Amino acid sequence: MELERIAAKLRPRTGWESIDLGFALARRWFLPLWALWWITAAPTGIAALIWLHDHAFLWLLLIWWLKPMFEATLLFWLSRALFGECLSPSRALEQFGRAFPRRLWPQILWRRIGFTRCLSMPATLLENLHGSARRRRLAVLEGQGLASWLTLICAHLEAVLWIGAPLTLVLLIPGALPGFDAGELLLEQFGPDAGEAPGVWLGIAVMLLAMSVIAPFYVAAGFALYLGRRTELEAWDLELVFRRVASAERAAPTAPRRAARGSRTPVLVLACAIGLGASGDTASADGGAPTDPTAPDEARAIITEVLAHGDFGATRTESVWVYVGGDNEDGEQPDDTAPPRLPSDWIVAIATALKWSLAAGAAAVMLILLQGLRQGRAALPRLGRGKRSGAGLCTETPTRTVTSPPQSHCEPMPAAAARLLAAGDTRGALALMYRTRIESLHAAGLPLRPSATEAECLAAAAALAQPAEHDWLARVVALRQAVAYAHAPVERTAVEALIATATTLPQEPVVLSKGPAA
Amino acid sequence: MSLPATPIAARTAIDTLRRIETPEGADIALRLAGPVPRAAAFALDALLRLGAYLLLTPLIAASELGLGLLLLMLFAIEWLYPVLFEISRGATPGKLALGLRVVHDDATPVAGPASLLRNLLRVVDFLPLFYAAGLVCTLIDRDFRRLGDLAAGTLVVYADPPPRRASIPQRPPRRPPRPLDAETQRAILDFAERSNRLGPQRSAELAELIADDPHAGGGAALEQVLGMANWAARGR
Repeated sequence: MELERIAAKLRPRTGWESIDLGFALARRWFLPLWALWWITAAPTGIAALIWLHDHAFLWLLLIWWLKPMFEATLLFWLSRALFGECLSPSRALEQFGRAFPRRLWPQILWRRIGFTRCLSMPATLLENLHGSARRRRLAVLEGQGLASWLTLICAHLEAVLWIGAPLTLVLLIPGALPGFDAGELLLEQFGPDAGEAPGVWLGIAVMLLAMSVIAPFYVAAGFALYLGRRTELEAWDLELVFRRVASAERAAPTAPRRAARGSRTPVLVLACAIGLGASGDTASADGGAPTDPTAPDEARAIITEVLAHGDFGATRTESVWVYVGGDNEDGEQPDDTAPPRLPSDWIVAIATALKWSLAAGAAAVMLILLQGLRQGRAALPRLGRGKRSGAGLCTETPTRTVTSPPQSHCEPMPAAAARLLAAGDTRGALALMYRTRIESLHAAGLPLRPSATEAECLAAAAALAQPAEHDWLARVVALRQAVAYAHAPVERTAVEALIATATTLPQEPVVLSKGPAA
Repeated sequence: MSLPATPIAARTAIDTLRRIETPEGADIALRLAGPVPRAAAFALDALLRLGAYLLLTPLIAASELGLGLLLLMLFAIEWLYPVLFEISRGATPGKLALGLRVVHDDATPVAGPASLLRNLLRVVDFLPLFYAAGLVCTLIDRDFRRLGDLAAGTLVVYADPPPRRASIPQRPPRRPPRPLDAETQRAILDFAERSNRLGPQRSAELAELIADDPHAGGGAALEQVLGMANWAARGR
């Protein structure tokens, strides 16, 4: 058996998956397998007809009983085909006739009745086991016990085809055909006097057809169960990989030599020489009678002799381009083709001026950035997508940085809000209330990121604020969001109520991040 | 009859996998389920449905209303049983018992339309009797699909079992004498996992194939390969 030539992919499979692999194998080789079944079954059947032409059911029973015989040829062919040897039917039968019949007799005599035929046939026929060795082997191979299920299910599949095929014909024949009753033809083969009916041989032919179609799948599935179990028990899949690696290694000493011949670098040649030297050593160690290279002179002579061999590289001339211009920089012979030197004084002056102006610019930018960091991020120049002043929707900055009119700086919040509301700026009033409250909470230690949304501010405030205060803030936020984002009209009275409530809350002067109060 | 003379090994290896490349470039292999496990799953489902019908038969006693209800229930069970289970659980109970799942042919779980279509076409697969058409179709088709599967673009596959934590015998890591490709490293790790189930003789026999010292005896070779497995498991 040459495992490398196996046509199926070896991997650990469950029993069901092995059965499916068998079906895939049978599909791949269906025609040869099917032909082989008929090549063995047809002569047998015709020979049996001589005696049994009056007893159709006995004949069918005989054919059914001899099924293992037909399946054995399929199994034999399949076991060869799987390892890359597609035999022609005549050669298959010839080889089969030499090897199998003696092993086959028990299968068609006393082992015929049984459900695990599909799995026991590979073990018996291909491994040629007898007696207790066979029993022990089968017990090991049995595994999940799917062989019986396979037999049972395949019997049903066969029955489905056997019933389905004539029924299809009947369904396709027009009912109005005169003088032909398909149903009667179908049923008479099961009647009490079926033996004499003309339709009975038709029915038997259909049955044989069904048998011949399912047989390759059944045999292949059983064989695949056997393969799967052996793969699991003996790690055939791993052996396959290991063998490939081992053979690649055996081929390796010649491969680098081929590579070195084509390559331009002496390093590879060297590597090759080392590899060959190592393999040569082991070869001589295996050789049995090596000369004893103890004397240094002798050894040196042998080494020289070995190294002189063509395998260790040959002398060859290579032409490469090497840059030689660098050495002539301060040599006695300046290159005539070099461009004339430019008067360098003013170039140097311009470069120096540029350098210092660049440094000054960088320092200025650093200063601006530092100041911006110190004052909070809003003072940084907005770059790219930070431009939001033109949007019109969010003229107020969302968090705690306030660019309110300067007159509100020292005003208490409720008064300022009331003044804004009176001026018709509902949105401004709500924003002012929200901002001042968040600002005071922030001053009291509320952790807030500059990017925090209203919902985040509110959630954070819940931890720090009084319930009443939080409730007030929640209403402010709801109204503010309605006004600012949804552009929904807000009841003026609701805002006034909020301002009134704000006066009852603990009063703080408006503390703004940017302004005289800060 | 003349048979192809080309060596089989030169052609693609026969397997029941269907490989799919996801848009992210990941390669996944579906393990297709053939007619035998599907027939077994169908038999289980048929038993379950039969049980449900038996539970419903007392409805006949309740005059014509009961009969009407019974017929409605029969209709619902017969047509919606597979669809509901496939949408909610990925497969009918019979398939689940055998570890099968129904998926779209791009490996996504089956959704309503495809499930409905493949189960409505059961009628066609059933023709002329007992799923003969479906059986022939699964025998012929490369992916074991019946007609309903072909129409709906679905596959019946084995569900991957939940990954279990693999353990290999601990040995001092041993650097392989030459770089090993991914497949070989995986095979060595597999070998280390399965070595105690293989038996000492077979393990040693396999280890001798790949041990870096070809003259090491079976036990020493096994130790070397286990060391290489520990090296591969750690990656360094």
